[in-house]
Amino acid sequence: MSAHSEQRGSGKSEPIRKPWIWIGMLAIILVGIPWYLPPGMIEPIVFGLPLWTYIAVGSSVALCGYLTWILSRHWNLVEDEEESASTTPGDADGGR
Amino acid sequence: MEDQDLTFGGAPGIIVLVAYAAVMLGIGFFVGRNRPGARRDMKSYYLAGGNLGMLVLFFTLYATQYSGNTVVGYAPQAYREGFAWWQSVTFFTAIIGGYMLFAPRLYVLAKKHSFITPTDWVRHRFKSTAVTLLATFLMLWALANYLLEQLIAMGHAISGLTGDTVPYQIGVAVFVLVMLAYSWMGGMRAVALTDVMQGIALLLGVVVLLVGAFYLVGGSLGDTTQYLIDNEPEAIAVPPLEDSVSWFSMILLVGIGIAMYPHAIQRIYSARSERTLKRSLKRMVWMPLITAGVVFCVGMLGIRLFPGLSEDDSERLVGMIANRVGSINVVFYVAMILLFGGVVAAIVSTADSALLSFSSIVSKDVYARYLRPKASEERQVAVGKIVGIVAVFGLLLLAWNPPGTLVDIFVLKMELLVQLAPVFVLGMYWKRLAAGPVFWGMAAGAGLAGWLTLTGEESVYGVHGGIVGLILNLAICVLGSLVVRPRATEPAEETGAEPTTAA
Repeated sequence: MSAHSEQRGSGKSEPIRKPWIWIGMLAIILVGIPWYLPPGMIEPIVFGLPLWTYIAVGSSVALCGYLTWILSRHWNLVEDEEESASTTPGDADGGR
Repeated sequence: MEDQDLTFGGAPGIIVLVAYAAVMLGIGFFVGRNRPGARRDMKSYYLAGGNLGMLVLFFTLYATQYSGNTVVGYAPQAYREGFAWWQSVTFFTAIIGGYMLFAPRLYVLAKKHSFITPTDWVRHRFKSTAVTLLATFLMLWALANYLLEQLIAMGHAISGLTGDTVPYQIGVAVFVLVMLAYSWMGGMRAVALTDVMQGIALLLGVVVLLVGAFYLVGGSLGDTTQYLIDNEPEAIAVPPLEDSVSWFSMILLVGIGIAMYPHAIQRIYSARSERTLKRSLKRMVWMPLITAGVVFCVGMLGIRLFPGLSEDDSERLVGMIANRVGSINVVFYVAMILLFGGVVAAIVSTADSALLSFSSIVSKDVYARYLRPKASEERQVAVGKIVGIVAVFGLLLLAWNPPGTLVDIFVLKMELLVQLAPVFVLGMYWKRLAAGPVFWGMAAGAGLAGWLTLTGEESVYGVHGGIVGLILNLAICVLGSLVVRPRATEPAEETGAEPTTAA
């Protein structure tokens, strides 16, 4: 966490320097794998599907959201310099 | 050959394939005419001038990562493994996590030092001929195998789509020529622009396939799962512990391994800006749900539609479902033909990226580095193109005449590529990491992973050979570097470990 606040101060950040990001990612992935449940378990069924499958799907969706958040908030090395240097913002290839 | 066995193939299939081929050639011609410089210098040809915008970068990442194999091969996997194959969605998502280990800094360094190939980083960081050559060898080997796999898949998809009216070899040869032509004319920019078309075709195709399959089973999720519970309970039950270990190991192997593919790394170099790269990756994060996730659902529905298929028969699952879906009505019929065209296009889009990357490594890291150091960039590009063509035709011969027992050697891809992770990740952040241990770690890791795969021991207690090799590799890198005395004259700037803040 100290590295986190340090980098916020300088305006630069990259995910690898923040161990908590990787611990969080590992936790989300591990929750999605049913290693902690008895093999062969199907019940309980919720809305037609075994509960454990919701956990696996939920973990995948959570991982997508988590990575999006990391990409948005915790990766900024040269973006500010590049964008201020660029006189024509936006992407000519049709991208925004 | 008759992998898909589509009764609706034939003439409409040929028309769709010709149309796709014409669009690809048109894009290559358009890029070549509007940007003649794209063929002359290395950065323009291999990296589209390092100026790809968000939308094109996103589609080229997408079409390169998801091949036609993702559809044709992964649905049968879900059919056989049941719900545990949901791991395919997570491992594709984990690739973005793999990128985040090194891409932010590699992007900055690539722009600063004008990197063209992944090997440029290896040379820049370690200044060791042995490490550079070994990394180059592993990359070329994996790319060639990957390309070979795409060529074989392309043949199966074409013969399936056309109901074998187009002989397998001729179909592949025509598409390879189309691919070579547009790559030759427009380089990376043409490859990336064709990826937009190819990516859209694949995406739409799998979604329509799911809608059709869902329609066929009566549209009720509850009924389908009840059927599975009654008839195939193991498909929907919690898997054994070893399978769960394998699930986790697969996420690590694919998440790190695919991020190490040379063409994946070159897409980091090609981004116009950090913002562009981030925005493309933010969209990529969600694609596993609507690609691998959809294919997974199709495979699960297949258990109900075609119960009790043998392993070999299940390989034809997508063709069988497409056949059934295509017979619902004319709209689905057209959509299924477009899907199979999309599968072929997606295979081509993956093959072209691998080929371009292969050519770039040959022209820059082999030809210009060791054979003709004074060659002009135009000549380097030309040599890369020609070697690429020779390699493709060599691989085609292999695809058509697999060399018996040797064929196992050609399965090695990700197991070898994942061994590059310490070079890229550890090398970027740990100044003390030394060339000697990196070389021996990479060699030992690749050797162990290769040996495990070739002897049929694909996993140890569920952990894949590639990951077992990586653990050995990392141990040698770390312990060896701690033992080796660090060179005093190695400034942080030159190792690439350029701290923006104190580490």
